Amino acid sequence: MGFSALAGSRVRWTIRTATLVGVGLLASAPALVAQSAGPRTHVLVVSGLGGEPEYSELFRTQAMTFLDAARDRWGLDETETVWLAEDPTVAPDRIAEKGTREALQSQLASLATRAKPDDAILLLFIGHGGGTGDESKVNLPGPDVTGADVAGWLDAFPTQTIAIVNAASASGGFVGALKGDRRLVITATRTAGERWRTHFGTFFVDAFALDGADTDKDERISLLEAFLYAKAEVERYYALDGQIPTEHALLDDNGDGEGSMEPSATGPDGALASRFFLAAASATVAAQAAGDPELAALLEKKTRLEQEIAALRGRRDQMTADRYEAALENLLLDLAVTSRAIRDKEGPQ
Amino acid sequence: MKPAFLLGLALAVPLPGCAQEPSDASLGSALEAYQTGAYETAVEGYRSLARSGADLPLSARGWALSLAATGEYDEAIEALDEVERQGGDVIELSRVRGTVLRRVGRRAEAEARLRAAVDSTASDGELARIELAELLFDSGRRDEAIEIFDGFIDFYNGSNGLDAPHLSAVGRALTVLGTRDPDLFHDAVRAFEEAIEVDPGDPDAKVHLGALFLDKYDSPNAGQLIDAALARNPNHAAGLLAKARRAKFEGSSAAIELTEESLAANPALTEARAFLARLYLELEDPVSAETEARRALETDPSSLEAWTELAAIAHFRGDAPAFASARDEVLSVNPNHSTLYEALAEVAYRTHRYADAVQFAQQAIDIDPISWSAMATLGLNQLRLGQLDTGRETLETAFAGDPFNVWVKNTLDMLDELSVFEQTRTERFVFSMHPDEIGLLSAYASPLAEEAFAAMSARYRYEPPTPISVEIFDRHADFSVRTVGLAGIGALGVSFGSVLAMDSPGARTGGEFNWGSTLWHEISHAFTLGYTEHRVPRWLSEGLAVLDERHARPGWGSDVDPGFLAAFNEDRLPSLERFNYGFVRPQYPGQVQHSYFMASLLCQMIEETRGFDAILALLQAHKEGLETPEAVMRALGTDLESLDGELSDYIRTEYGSAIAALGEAEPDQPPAPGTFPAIMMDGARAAADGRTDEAIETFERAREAFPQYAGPDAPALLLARLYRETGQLDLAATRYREYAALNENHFDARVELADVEAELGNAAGLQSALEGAMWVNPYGPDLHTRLAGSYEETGDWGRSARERSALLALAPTDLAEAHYRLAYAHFRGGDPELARKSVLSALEIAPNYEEALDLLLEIRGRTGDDR
Repeated sequence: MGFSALAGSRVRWTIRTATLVGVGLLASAPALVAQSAGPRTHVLVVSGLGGEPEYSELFRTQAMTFLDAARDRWGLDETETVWLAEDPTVAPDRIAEKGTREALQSQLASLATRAKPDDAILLLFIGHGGGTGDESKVNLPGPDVTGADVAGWLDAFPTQTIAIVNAASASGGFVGALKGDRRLVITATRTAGERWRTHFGTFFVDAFALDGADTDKDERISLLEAFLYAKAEVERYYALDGQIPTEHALLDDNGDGEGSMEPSATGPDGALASRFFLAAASATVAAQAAGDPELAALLEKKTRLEQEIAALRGRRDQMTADRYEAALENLLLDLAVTSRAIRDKEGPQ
Repeated sequence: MKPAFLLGLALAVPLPGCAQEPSDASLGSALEAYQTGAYETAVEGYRSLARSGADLPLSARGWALSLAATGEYDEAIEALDEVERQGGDVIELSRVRGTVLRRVGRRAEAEARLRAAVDSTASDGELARIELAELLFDSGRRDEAIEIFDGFIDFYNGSNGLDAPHLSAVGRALTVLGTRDPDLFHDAVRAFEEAIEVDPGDPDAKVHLGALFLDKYDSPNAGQLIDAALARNPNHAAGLLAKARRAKFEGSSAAIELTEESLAANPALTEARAFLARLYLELEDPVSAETEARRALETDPSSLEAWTELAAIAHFRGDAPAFASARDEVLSVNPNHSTLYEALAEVAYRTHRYADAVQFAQQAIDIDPISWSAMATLGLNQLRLGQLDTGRETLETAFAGDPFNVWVKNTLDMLDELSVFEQTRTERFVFSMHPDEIGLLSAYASPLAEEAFAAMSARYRYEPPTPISVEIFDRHADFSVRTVGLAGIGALGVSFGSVLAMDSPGARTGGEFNWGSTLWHEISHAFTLGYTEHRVPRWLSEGLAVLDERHARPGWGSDVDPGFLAAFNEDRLPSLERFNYGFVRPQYPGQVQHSYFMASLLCQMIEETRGFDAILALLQAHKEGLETPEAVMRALGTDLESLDGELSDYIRTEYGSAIAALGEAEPDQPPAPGTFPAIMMDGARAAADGRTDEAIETFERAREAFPQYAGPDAPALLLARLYRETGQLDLAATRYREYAALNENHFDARVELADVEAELGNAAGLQSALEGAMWVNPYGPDLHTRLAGSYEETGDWGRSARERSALLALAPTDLAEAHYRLAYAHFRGGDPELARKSVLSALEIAPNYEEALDLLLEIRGRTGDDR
């Protein structure tokens, strides 16, 4: 292996199947299901009022970057994305309509008619916020939208899993307002009282647009990974700038309305987010596997090895360090060989 | 003890005092003069009344006490004799006579007089009783004294309407008793407060209470009370002394001046003389210290304070016979005078002899097991010797006995923080750091420390005891407490010998200091302290430490600043004879820094003109106990005055042109044309107006005029930026390098230099610049990534691995990648075992990480075809 392997991007621009599980929310479900036949993720981005040209441009750029990444890097079908913005004329081919409260309500109602029962919805707010007490609102052209407004409109999605990411300032009130089953709420701030402009949105978008957030190297970005990446970058930003942080992001996905600042895949908050992805896995390998028993066997072996590694990690505290390390290495060597064989089967991407 | 006491205090209704209640306007005037410090007027007033037989015994007491207030003790006794000859009541004057006799060390006579007043129930018998108890306590008859002190609780509870002096007497008794029961300190405070309320015009109670607050580490409250007393009586010698003690507590350079003011008010105040001796001794000036201590003995030949200071001076000098003699003098007066050893411990600490401090503090405790202050001194110095567990245990005992001790409280809190620190070891060092920092900082600190040890052991031909313990604190407050017990110290590092402590770069705002040179500096102290068995004077240890920094890396070590050159030009720098004063008692802002620089220049000059062997000879002389003048004479063959002259010539040679270029600054006047400041202003105007060529030409002239200037507006840096802006990268690099070799702290300049070096394709230059930047702020992942990449390009996989380790220690979001890249660097650097461990760490987080899986196969020599 030469050093050149390090020089390029780690993230594959062509979505491959590092894991066969992971169609939308069904990371733990059986794989080998083409996207068209399974659940989909619908994305609705709302970029609010900038107030000043600098912020209008920033919010527009963030929204555009996110949608580009969703399409180009993560394979999300553009027909599943909707963008509501302060000024539709800045990107008329991309922006559905002016991002008013009414437009948002209307778009959600429309989406409710399209979404299948197992589909997932990601609602991303970018902009300035405000609020008093526990109520947070996002500044939109015309009347602002509150967490309670959104909660009411989301009643139209009785079975779907819904992620709401409010990257605006003073967004913390959304956690309590939008709590519920199959709900994942991320806010840039922990209360409606953190009113300074936030940087969380920038880094949240970066998580999908740049390298670095895929910490488990499964070539996908879960919302948990995106949250942790953005949170860490926000902390680093303030530390390097020598400032006291004025934003503290929260994630709540266990329905208790209490956000966590340190969520993890093992909960109490973070489990749902760890399984929420922008896009389904590619159908390519699934299709190949369907006609290739040898590849199917390799994929099956890979899945089994992954499960064994996960189980071994769970037993780590019960083993000596040496035994654990040896067992882990054996499994990983097997996985390495198997992965290489799968790649050989796939051929050049 | 009587639990009812508190209730008694609370219910007591203060009434006007009686002992010195003026009976007519004349007595009142005299009292007013006495309380306001108009002692001559007071003497005249009281004397006139006493000689006429009026208002006796109050007038006679006032006369004697007014004389005693200015140290005229013989005259005071003569006054009492005169009144007694005229038929004055001997018993009624006994207390005052005993008080004055006590001041001049006539202890037996004083005791007899005080007992007479007590036993004969004189009208001031209770005041005699407190004096007697203090005398007995001071003479080592503690049980007897404590019994009397304890009686003041009953006295208070059984009395109504006590006057201010009697309430103060209660407060004084409770102050002593508080050592055994800390709750009684609260009662002492209340007694003094009542005294103040009864007679707000009496400064004595305020001074007593102020001293009590200071003794309990409450400097702000102490300051208010002492200042209030001095506002009433600016000549109150004890008040001025209390203010001086507070200044010392605060680390203020005014302590000496205030003590001298106290002695101006009462030249015979032995406590002030002894305190002044202590101040001089802590400045490592035993000659002045001894002068003051002996002057104290002229007044009171049995002064415990003075003999204690003489013992400390003798110990400092290594004069064993003189030490034994002084010690015996103290113990002959008071065999239980634990304060002797406590003072010796304190001076030993102040003069960096921590092992001696531990030994003396232990001796103090052996004499008085409830000497909590000695216990605290013991614990703090055990910590300075690196005995963390023992020190903590000692401090916990001390804190249980004296819960007011803020040093102990802070230190115990600091030890809690230190207990979570992790350790890493090298051949000759043990580093302790916060878990969040150890991975990052040890990657740099460990090799640097070993490099420093190797360089210095060759240079000094000596090795200090190892392992050297290095504590690097992530919070400046903790470092400060580790050093002096209180937050707020300005220093960056401290050496207790083979125990070092310092701020981590994260303990201060990024870019404030160079933590590499700080570490090097403190290691140098470990050498010089060890070499001389902790007898190196401050100036020499600091001068060598800065000089050693300068030898370590270009730009390390203090740089010259215009303020230093101005101070030199205006003859404001201390003479070598009083060199230490510039470190410990600076006379103007910046003098401490100037002292460091001056000391480094002196050492540099000695090394250049006489060789480093001369430095070693100087250290050897100090090790043998010689003081600076004798050490200089023996090692360098010259006297201090001549050496001073040599140093002045050296500074003129080195910086003469810069001094001339700086010109004479006139207040509120623009700099004279042609001077360095004027040229810089011209250059700045040209740069602001976009006349870049002219700005460059002007700044080049400024640089030639004062090439050593390293401030943030140095011409070298401004030129580097202008050359870069105009695309003259070679020139920019030259000026950036020049500036980096002048200023060890400028982070941005190093990063800018790295950028220029990268544009020039100079990988070695880029690496050098970024290495320098890491010693200022190592917390930026981007710089580590950049440096790692550069080392990988040049095939330096060892340094690449260090940078990858640093990145990993910065807890990146993408941990798997950080482990993988570290594994890769280890693998390419020829360490497959470390590579294997790192890649397993990566894959444990991200089992499907393809590159890491491939690397694991490569490490194990497998192709993937052997499934």
